[in-house]
Amino acid sequence: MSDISVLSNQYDKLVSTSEKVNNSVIAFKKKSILNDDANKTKYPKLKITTEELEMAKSILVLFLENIQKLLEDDSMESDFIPVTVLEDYKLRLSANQYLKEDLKKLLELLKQNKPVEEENITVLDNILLILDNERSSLFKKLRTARG
Amino acid sequence: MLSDLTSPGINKEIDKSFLDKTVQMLEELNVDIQQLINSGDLDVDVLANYNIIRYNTFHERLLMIELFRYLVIINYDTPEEYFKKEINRIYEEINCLQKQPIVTTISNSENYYWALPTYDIIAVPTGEERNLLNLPDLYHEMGHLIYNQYEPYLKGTIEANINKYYDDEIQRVDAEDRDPKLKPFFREKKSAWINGWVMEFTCDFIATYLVGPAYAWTNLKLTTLSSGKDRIYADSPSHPSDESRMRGIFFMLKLMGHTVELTQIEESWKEFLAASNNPILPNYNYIFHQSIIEQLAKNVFAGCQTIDLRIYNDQIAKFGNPISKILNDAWNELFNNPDNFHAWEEDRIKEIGGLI
Repeated sequence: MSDISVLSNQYDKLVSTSEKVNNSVIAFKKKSILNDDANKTKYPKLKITTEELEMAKSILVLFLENIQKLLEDDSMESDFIPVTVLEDYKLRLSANQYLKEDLKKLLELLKQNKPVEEENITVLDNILLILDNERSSLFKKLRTARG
Repeated sequence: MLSDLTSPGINKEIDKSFLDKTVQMLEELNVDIQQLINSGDLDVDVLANYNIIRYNTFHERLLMIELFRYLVIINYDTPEEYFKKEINRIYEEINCLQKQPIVTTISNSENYYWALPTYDIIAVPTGEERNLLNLPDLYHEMGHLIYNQYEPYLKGTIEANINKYYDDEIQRVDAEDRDPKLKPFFREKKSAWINGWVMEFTCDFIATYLVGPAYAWTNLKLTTLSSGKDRIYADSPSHPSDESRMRGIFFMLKLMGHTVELTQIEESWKEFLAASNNPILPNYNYIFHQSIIEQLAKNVFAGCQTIDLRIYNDQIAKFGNPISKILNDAWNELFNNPDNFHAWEEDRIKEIGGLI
């Protein structure tokens, strides 16, 4: 009868989102780093494939569209963010007054298959940090709920 | 952890597949960490923040395995062996074809009973093997595992009903010039229904279907804990209010034909509500509308039949004295002969020991 079953489902959902988005951003960061030939020598192990970038793009487009929807109306539904943290997540996102504009630009680039530079994805750093915080906080709830 | 889990000191009664899976999860975590180390990503300064997020995720993954698997295995002892036999017996009585979960006593009295379907465990507080009046809640937790596998069969089209109900109410806000704050309120409640309440109500209905009136009495007992905090009508994103759950359980008992017992429990419940006098929240009727509760109960009743779970009365017909009947007898004994209840309970626990 405790919240553990629900918290656990919601935590799994958030871990999945956090991992997918983090890995997608890393893919674009790697691409950006490898655009500089000097970095290819500096980081010989660093690699990124076209398939990995395509996958990262499709994940980010879906995720960012969902964030746009969350920010633009009173929607309380998200395939990416569990309901337990949704309200807090929206509140934290809305603290960044430039977020909507930056998201719009990034989404246009991704959808039009235009090059995504490092400055375009800086907007995602804050989103990722918020996701990481929400995930850790949900994990703490799950851990303490267990007793 | 890996060396502990592969040592000869591990209890031999622990489910082998649970133990093997735990070892496998730890080994997979090791492989994932090693792959990250080999990838060279950790050498790149500008990836540091993203690598910290990866580290946090790995760390939590390790702790999840430790909390919900390793500790279950390490603490496996006589009560767990008892519960293993008991749940095997119950699964046979209710005709549940799922793999039986591990029942562990790593919970505490505050958290009471809980289930983690993805880990195949049900946790109960220490000492629960000596208590019959809480045991109906084990059927609710089993419901979580059943729901995890058969969700579409059990809930049916209830989400469409919920969406329609709240969409209509949201439209009425404009059409009838009602308070605009009702719109986010309705959206929040709709979301809670879809994301948490449907599952909790369903597990209550499954438990009622399997254990009959005893589940209602146990739920009434549990509700006395919230009444002291004025929370009988309060909900949370994960759980519906105690009051609405009780209404749901009553409707399921009615569907099952337990009219005589229902009258008695309803009478006690009404007296309890009047005596505890908890505050009813504004717009409460729009949160737990009876039409949604009844429709979900009907869906679950049909779903339980579809997946061939054995209803309470059929368990009695087939087994004579199944554990579910002993739990109902326990409540009857408590009311009819309270002074003798403790001795009676001890005898029945021994009887269950004989059955299993």
